[in-house]
Amino acid sequence: MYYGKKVILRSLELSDVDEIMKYINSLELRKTLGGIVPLTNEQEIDFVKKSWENRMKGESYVFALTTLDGKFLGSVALEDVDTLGRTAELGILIGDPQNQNQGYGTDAVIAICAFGFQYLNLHSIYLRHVEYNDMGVRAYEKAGFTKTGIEREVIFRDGKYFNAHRMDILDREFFEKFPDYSLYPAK
Amino acid sequence: MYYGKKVILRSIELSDVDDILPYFNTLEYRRTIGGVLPYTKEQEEEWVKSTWEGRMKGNPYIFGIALPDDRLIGTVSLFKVDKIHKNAELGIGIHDPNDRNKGYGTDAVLTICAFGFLHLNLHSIYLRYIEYNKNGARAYQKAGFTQTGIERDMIFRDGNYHNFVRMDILEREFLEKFPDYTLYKA
Repeated sequence: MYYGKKVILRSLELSDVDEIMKYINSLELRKTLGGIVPLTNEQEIDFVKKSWENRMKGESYVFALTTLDGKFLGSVALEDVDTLGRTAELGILIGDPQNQNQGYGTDAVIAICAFGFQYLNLHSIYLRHVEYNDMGVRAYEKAGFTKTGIEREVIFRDGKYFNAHRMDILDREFFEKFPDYSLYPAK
Repeated sequence: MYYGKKVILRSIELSDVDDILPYFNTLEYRRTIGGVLPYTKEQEEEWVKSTWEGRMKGNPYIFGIALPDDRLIGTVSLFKVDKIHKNAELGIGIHDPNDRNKGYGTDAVLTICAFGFLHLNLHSIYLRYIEYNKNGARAYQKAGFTQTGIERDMIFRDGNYHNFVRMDILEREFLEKFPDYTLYKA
């Protein structure tokens, strides 16, 4: 549906659940995400269906992430969309470590920012990440995000407290950095 | 119930609603807190009831701020209580402008932090305020909060975007700054 340079953003389908189940219950992956309790097949089916509803309501936009030739990589989302303040929080995950460090994440972040700024008319997109998520930081910086603060010791993981870092990007900054970004397939 | 030095935190009662509404539905008050839509008496009563339920469920903890003569001057809360990561967000409002700049807000912030750290076993309490809320900033600093970041252009108010300022305080910092703080009556 929405074309980045290396990835495509499209609706999550029920047929993606098998792919999601291959990675979602890995503690290594969860270390940089929200909760650490296992999720079942049925819960993921609900999650996929919920993503359709929330998108129609305009509350959150969760998309599947694939390569240009259709290989499933993970998901990327704008959540907590505030239609009055025109802000949203960005989240992304690439399931298989073998698909990380290849520029897919960066491109997915840029593509969903383009979607947010060019189509949802957002003013600001922000994100939070655990301090040790170095791969995330590199992708966010390349996509034009700047660090605006830390949240001290708000994440308890592996027996210790860690800081969360907050970054954001404003619409005018995105348009300046990527003036001609297009979500159409390359000609 | 919980005694600060100048204020007492107690349950908000339905009988407080008449005192709350005249100040709550002013744009002057609302410009430093959440939404700008008016609330009816019925909505406010529902909200008061919801504070009782939230407290029993362990999120959020919303209290009235009362003076020693039991007059309710505002509300203070710990919300988004996270029981695993042991943190919560703080919110406060002093209704009547005449009750501001008298140390009540600072004392209410200290008191609810003591409640959070001494009784809920929290590790961190954080807050966000709109950058033009100078009264709030002073109270939070006095209560030991430090600024950890900003959230740029996050709130649209009075025709412009404004930054949020984020502050937090950790359990060990609070206990060091106020080692003998007690919530019992002096």
